Amino acid sequence: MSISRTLERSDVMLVVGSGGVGKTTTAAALAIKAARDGRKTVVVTVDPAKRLADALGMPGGLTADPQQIDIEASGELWALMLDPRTTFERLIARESTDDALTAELKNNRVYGNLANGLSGTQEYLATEELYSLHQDDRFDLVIVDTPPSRHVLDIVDAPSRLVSLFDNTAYRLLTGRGTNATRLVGKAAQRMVRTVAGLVGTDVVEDAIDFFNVFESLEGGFRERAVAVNDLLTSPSASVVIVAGPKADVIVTACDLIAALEQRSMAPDAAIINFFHPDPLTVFDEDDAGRNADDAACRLHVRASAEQAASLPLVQMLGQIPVVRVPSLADDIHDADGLGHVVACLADDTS
Amino acid sequence: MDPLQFVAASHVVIVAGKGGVGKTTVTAAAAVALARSGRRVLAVEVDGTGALRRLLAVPDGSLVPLPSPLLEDGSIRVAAIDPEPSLVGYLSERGFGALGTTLSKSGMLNLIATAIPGIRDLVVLGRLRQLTTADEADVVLVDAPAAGHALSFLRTPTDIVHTARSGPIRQQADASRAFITDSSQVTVTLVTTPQATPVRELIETAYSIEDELDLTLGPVVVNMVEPQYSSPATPSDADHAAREFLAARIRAEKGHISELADQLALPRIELPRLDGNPSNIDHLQMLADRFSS
Repeated sequence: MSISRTLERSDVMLVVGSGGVGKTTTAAALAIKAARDGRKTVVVTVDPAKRLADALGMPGGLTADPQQIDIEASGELWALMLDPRTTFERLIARESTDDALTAELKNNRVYGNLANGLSGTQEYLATEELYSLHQDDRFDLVIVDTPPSRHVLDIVDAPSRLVSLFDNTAYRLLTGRGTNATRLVGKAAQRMVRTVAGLVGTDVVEDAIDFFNVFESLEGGFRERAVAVNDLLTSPSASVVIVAGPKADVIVTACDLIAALEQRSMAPDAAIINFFHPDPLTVFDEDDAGRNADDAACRLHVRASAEQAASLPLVQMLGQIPVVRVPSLADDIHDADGLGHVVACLADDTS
Repeated sequence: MDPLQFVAASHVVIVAGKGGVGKTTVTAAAAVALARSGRRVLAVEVDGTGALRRLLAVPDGSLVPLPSPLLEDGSIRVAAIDPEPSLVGYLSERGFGALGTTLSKSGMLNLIATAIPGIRDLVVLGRLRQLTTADEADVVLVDAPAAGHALSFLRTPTDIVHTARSGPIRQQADASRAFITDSSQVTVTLVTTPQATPVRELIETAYSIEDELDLTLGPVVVNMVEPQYSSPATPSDADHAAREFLAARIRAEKGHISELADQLALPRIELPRLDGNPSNIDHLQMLADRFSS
């Protein structure tokens, strides 16, 4: 199935990959392509660099609310930037039935830490944003540029990780929700609390206990939502696009990622490998053997060959799944022309 | 002036930059350059990924420095400060001893990390301080965490003050801050590639580091700069196409490098883009040459 077909049959699309592979640009290009193909597309980016906004023709930058971008397309293109704080506040407001409690939470330091992009939270909020945009009638395709995390899988594991906090023994102890068996070790819990208080100060521990107690009242809603998000991510109308670069270490990371995604029933639907150099000597004959190593054509030939060889393990692992190779430009992609180049490569894919 | 002088101006050099710019390769190449100039080098990995260990061919991550077999005289040693074991160790040393083994199992560790984000980075910085004080190395090179992490790692001691107003964590934050802002002890070397977005981000990061965090910046390393090329006397179509591509690239890169030079008054080290395997010692030697030329 080509990239076009994948875009056509998807309601949500996760764009994943390690840092520095051109993920944000690729997500934007996919969104432009989908809009041109008639889809009402919204792209969520996590990259605060203003250059992508410039390339999309949004010189004022992107906001936490979707803004429509003026492009020539039969569909529509919308874009927003993930703002963890806004998303988290919306989440709490939705789950909480007690306004006083919500207000109390906002002044809590642990909540502040959580909302400000603590590890795992940003990933959770990206999936949350994806879910609510999917419910929004204005859009029929949601493309998410996933956060740059050290562990790329954080994004797909995020919903279940938040729920696992509720099942956390220490959390249950602290909020006094232990079973009889765990109540027996209540003294141990108190000792823990005292030790932690000695470490960080009593006020932090009090804040933490307050926060977890409020959080507990939201548990049901969070659990339901986590299941719904997980169902959406593993449904047939969800797709995963993996982005990589033609370098051995990047390819190894991408292959590991695919194996882990497959375990989670989220096998990728397409791959995009950026930054392939042109090979001016596709036929390298005897005459070329005498070339210097710093000869322009020879250098590009050696580089292009190395890139093809480096990408091979990924291509083989993907088998029938389409792989789009995007040629490297002289400069990096930071404007509308550059984005147009990637869009053209996506459109050329007929695999 | 010898660029190595800049790199070795302080005891500890933290090598930082956005993902994909080649921080780890630059750290390894700088280690080779410094070792060749007769300095005893300790290269430290702090993100638990094993990338630096692999590049310097040190088989097993260990807080106790192990010599890299790449240089026969053992003048480069490699240590790994893994965030998770460091945090367990830190908490165990401070009265969690009895609960130490059940700490991760009970989820207490996650809970502590939830309540105090940055505690992992803080503990890593604390370990780094211990390591550099105890070690006899002339220069300690630290490969900073990848991706968007570079700044948050350095920012932790400043930020954690908002969470912990008293207690040992606060003391640890104050001590770490005093350590990394002492320019005779620590400098930060930023790495970028000669492209529009990485250069722009590096400039912003540099200003944040100096103005907000009060750290001292060492030279900027521009990695993967396209080298000049030659061409046969009677060029074919392929030669014209290749020259045109590389000329356009070199022109674009020069533009970004001069933007960098205009905006940041810092010494600059340019490393060439090399084709081939970066884990090759010849590759690292070639890059190391640029540090001392």
